Amino acid sequence: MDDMQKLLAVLVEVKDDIDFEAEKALVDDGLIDSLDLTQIMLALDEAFDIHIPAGEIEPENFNSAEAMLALVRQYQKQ
Amino acid sequence: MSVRNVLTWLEDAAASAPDAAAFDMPGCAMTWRETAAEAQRIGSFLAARLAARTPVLLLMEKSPACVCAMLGVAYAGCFYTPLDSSMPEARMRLIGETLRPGAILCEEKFASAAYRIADGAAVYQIEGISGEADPERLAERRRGHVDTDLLYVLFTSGSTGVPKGVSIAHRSVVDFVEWACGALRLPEGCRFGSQAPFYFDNSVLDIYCAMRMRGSLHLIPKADFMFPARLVKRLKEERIDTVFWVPSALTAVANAGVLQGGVLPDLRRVFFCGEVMPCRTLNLWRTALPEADYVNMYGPTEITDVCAWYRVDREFADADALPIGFPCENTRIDLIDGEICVTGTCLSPGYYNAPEKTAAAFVRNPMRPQIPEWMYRTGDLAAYNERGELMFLGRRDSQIKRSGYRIELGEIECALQSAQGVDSGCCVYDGERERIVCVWTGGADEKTLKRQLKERVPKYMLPDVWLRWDELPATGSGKIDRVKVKRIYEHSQH
Repeated sequence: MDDMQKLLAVLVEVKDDIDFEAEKALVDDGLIDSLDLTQIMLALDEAFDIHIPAGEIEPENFNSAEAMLALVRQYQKQ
Repeated sequence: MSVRNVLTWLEDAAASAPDAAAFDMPGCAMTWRETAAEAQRIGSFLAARLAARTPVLLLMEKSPACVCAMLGVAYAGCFYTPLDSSMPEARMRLIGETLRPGAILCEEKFASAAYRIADGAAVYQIEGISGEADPERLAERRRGHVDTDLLYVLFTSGSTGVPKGVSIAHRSVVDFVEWACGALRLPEGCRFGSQAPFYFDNSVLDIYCAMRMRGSLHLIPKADFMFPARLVKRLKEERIDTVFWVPSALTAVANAGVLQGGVLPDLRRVFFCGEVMPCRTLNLWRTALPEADYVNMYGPTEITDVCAWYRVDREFADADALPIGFPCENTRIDLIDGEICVTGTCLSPGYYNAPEKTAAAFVRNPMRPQIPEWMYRTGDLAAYNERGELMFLGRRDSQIKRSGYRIELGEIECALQSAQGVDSGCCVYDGERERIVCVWTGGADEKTLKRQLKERVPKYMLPDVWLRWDELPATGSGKIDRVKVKRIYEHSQH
């Protein structure tokens, strides 16, 4: 399973009523709220064995699955 | 002459600071003169269609237009209920059944939802309200006003599954805001960074103190609170000098590590209310902003937002409990068997259209049997510390708090027990991990149950832990044994 598939599996686990492959403005359109975001961040930390600090994220990082994957890769390198 | 209607402040601001910003955010700026004019226009429209003292539901985003609508309702001599637009429609309908509004004011994008919940109420789209202000009609409504007339009704979670409408009169808001502006040392023209939704009572302080001080309201987008770095940038750019937030919001910022010394030079007043403020959070803020004034406040919606306050005047260790301090001016607090009982002008006259619920919480003062003096029993427990300050100790019933929201576990249970595929069920709260645990028996699996609950209760009430059991323990009288449920759950966690 590649990282994108893994990411999508994580996202669906958190929230099953969103098409994460299609949506490109998850935050801007209000599809995910603070509760979802907290859960997504915890799930990403766990699934990819990284730590994304809350103080460093911006809405752009969570608007789409691609953006989230880029964010994950950024912290995987560190 | 003393103030008897909150509109007096609006008219003062429009007359003495007409060009000062009432709202000051990119894309939604309005002066006090414009705000007053818009409120008078909406008020005239409503006064031509509704009798005085008619309830009006507001289904709008948190926006300057929504504040204009609230004030417009007040101009018509009516009272408003702002609705959370993200709440399930089933719950909106329950509120409508209790409130029986004469009209729903909505934005175009909520119009179809408004028609679905209307049930006989007129629906007016705010964008479509035409016509000029009618000074004569407004003056007539004002002549008929007494300060015990209601200004708003805010709905909170109810243990029987039906939300309770806390009604608040003009005089209570006047009493509270006049106290707050002085006690909190608010300067003329202060700039509020508003976090509280308008259906939450903390917004009463934001809106009316800003108005009273001819200051401005900066309605911070909800999404900013998910991204602390962006939030801090916004506060800095907008030169916010005053915030009144729930502790959860202050904690999120503090924990994100975005508070460095000198980062917010304009922020001079940090106030909080709505849940327990952890001293760890307070200390992180004080380290970054040592010059700011920190005030902890306490109070349920039933006493108009705040009835006790404590200005931080000494050091606290991270593990200490922060006092809620002393009663506000013109407010009396008695501890009866440890329960905080409140008397004064701040009291709600009762739960709207719910005499039994009102009678259970608003009682005759047992120490003044000679006259009908009303007292509100908060259900909160407190004690005095050695300095004579009030210390909050918790709830005496099954109400819990999450991000400042009051949640009655009974309301979730009511939705749970009426869900398809559920034979029996209950909710318990794991306070240590801050989780709502729901347990049920029956054919429904987690997914289908979650879907059903989402249609009945707001998202902040959804359980975090879902457990289907083969049977639920019962007490001697045959009720669900919640204590035992909790014990079994806790045992499984170790």
